[in-house]
Amino acid sequence: MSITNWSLISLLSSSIEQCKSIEFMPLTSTDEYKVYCCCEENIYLCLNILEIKPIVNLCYSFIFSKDYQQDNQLNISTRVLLCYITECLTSWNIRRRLLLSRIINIQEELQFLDILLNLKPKSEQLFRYRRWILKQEGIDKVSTNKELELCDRTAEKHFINYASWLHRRWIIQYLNVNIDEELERNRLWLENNLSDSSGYSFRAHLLSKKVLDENLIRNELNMNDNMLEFYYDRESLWIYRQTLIFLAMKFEMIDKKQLLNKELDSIKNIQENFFSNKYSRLLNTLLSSDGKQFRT
Amino acid sequence: MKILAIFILHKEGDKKVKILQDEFNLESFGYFERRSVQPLLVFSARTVTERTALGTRQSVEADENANAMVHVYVRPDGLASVIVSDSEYPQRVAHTLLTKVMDDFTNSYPPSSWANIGEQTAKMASLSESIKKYQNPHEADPLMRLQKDLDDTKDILKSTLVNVLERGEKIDDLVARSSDLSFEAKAFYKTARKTNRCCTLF
Repeated sequence: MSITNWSLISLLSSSIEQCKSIEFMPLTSTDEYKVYCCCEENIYLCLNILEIKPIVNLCYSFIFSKDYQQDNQLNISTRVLLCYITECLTSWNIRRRLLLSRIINIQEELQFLDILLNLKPKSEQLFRYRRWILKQEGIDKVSTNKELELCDRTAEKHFINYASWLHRRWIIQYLNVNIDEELERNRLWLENNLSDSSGYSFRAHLLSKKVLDENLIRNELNMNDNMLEFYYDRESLWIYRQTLIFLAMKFEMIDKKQLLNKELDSIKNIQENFFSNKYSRLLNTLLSSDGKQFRT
Repeated sequence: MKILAIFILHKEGDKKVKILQDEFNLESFGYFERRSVQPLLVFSARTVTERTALGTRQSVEADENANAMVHVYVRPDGLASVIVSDSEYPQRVAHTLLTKVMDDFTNSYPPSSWANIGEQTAKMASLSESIKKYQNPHEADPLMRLQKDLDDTKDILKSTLVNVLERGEKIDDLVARSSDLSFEAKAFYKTARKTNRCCTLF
């Protein structure tokens, strides 16, 4: 732990503070000097993926040393470390403390999280910390659109992204977002990401929050039909269809026999494959047991 | 669901392939990544076309853990086009678009001129429009419906990059030898493979 090491970490920290995007790429070092990062146009920062270990070790030694425990020093060392390892809980807790004592500005921290989420879209700790900040900030200051847009982005970046959809569920509940608007947003998102089962599972979650009726289920089935016409080979569509049938089964008012027979007819129009066979087997089982077996 | 790149190529000899025109859509990549991803796309387009026989269509999975498909159609007259898309993108639309792009190209550049066009110098304006328009495959709906019963796009070979390569060839060796790839792009490919980050690459 020398002064030069500390100035390296401070330098990294200030470049991270300034930049608008961070990436990890291999950069070539020479015998004379080591390349830790490179910055272009002041806002694009690239960290050397080949030099992760020395930086992380340095950060750890500073965070747990006796001499570098002042608030602003901790701010610097945790900021750098969290860029490299987002799941370090100790560092997040240090930053929580700093935020509470107003060393860290809430808005700046949210921006920092934005950048990190582009880098690690599936980091559970990042989302957890973000939710904590939003709670600190107060419910009326949270920008709904910004949070939803963030969820869209991270969910698209990482296929079946549990952390992102969990955050979205929390946002919907916490901010009391209109379910119909959210269903429409979800429909548009799924149009471009139709293999994403998490998206469909979220849709089913939204539906279960509404008062179910026959029309609603019919509409959803129709939408699914349109998709299946072109994408009959995507499992996510078939799983969602199955979920819809189970939802309908729970609903007492629907004539189940009629619905199931109609389903059996309608999938005859779709090219037969592994998923459609599996689905028609399920329908037949439901028909023979009159749905009782699956009703809870 | 996105198209990353469209290429129009000319297959001259058995192994010689010339890229006539290319168009990229690399918005989803970071500022630094783009520089390495672009040559990798060029490399895979060229490699796959070199190994596709005249008059065949193929959809090739780029890597076992990369989320990208290379769709290729080499016409009997030697003109070829390649679309690199993510695996979400419907195969049928990609292949319909391949046919359309080549028809457009033949209209603006007659077959006799192909041999004299320099590497990556053709400038057909409609290509950049196509890549923008077809980012959303629902745009292609009418095309899709029309093509549905045509045999043309029915038997598309599905394959993986490893299978496309000839006996004894290794993808890592090809990357190392390629002149399409800069030193940085090669380093990028290597680390991406090592850290299994290919899955988020494309």
